[in-house]
Amino acid sequence: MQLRIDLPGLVAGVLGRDHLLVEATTLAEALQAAYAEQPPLRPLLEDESGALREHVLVLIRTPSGTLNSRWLPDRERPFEPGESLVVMQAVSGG
Amino acid sequence: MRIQVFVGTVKGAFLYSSDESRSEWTVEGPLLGGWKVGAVSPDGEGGYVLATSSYVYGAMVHRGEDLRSWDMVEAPPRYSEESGHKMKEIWTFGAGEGVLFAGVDEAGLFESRDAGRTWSEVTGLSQLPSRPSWFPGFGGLCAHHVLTAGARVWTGISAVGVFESADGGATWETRNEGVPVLIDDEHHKDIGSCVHAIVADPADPDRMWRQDHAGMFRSVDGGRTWELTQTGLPSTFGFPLVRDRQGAALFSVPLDSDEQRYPSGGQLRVYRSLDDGDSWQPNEAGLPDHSYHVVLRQAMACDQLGEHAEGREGGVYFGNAGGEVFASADLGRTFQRLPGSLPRILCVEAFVTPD
Repeated sequence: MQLRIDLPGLVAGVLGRDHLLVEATTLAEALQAAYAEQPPLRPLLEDESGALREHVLVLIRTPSGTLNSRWLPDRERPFEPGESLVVMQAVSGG
Repeated sequence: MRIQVFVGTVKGAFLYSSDESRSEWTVEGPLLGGWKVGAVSPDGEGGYVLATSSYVYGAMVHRGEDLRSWDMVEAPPRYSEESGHKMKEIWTFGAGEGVLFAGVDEAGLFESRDAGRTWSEVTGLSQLPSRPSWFPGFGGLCAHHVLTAGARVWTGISAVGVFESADGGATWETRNEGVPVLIDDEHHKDIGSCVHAIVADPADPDRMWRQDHAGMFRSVDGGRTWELTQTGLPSTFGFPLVRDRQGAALFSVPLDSDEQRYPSGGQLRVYRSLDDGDSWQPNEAGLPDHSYHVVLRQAMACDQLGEHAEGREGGVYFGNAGGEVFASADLGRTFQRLPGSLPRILCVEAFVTPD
């Protein structure tokens, strides 16, 4: 399915676009597709181990609410119709 | 010719431009607004590389042709997961013959053979036996200067010291004899000095100068031995150290002490040496009193215009943590403040470019 990925402001500024449209059925496929289309995204969002950086959030926006991808056991959950992804910077406090 | 002064801050970069007179300046920016811009350098192919570092998104290299438009590379410097080291920040670039080095925190070097598009770790440095004993300075455990001359490479690492490689980075030796050790290591007695900046004479790379935590030093043997050259300086502490090649002039901005870190007495002064560090004289014309901002180690540059335009003296530029940029068109005798009140200034570089 076609999936929309909204990008955070700083990243959108340097990529020149605020969202991507990718074909993906799972989070793993969505991230791979996003990295294939915009290769600098991988080092921006993932650390050396391939995990999301500590202050990067990837949220699954569902019709009934928002699901933090960190709550999932892996990246294999299938997307449902009407879902999309939002990448945010998680900067706690001020 | 245009003089372009690139100023990197914690929230983006700003580009000042002037003609050869360097009296009227325009400013553009922010470029990469919101990004911490810590280093910019020629890429060896006629373009430029730039480093951003982010609390959220890590360290990234950008390439550009004109100092204004930048594209991120796909493969910035990254340690392998097996190395055990984390890539926190890119502090500097150093260009050699067909190679571009990046000095990073956690301390180490990366090299690129394709003008910054891809990078590999200089493992000869980061796998030295003393590496587990390297101790960070206040600014982190950072490789903040890289100098090259043919196959010779020097790097300055806080708070470890200077290292030299005679073989392009394969093997390394310390270069700290004569400089006080600040943090004595149990086993490795040749590290633990805190170099802040190094600069060399490209015509004779064995001639080097070093602003250290413990004072201003000079070497005439490629860093093997150092002598203190403090005459005229008000303190031993400071960060930037740059050199105008044609004028054979050194410039520094001494700070009161490592605990206070502001210009002595609150009068911002640039100290200049015209005798290779034997003596230093203050210049304060055009610089403010009641100035208590630090000038960071990458935040000063010479434009080397004297090498490009007959009859022109070299320009000197620097910015402080208060976001003020100052420029001299007369080899540091007088300064003017350039327009703008910027975020904390991390780096300043000056380029002479065609009109």
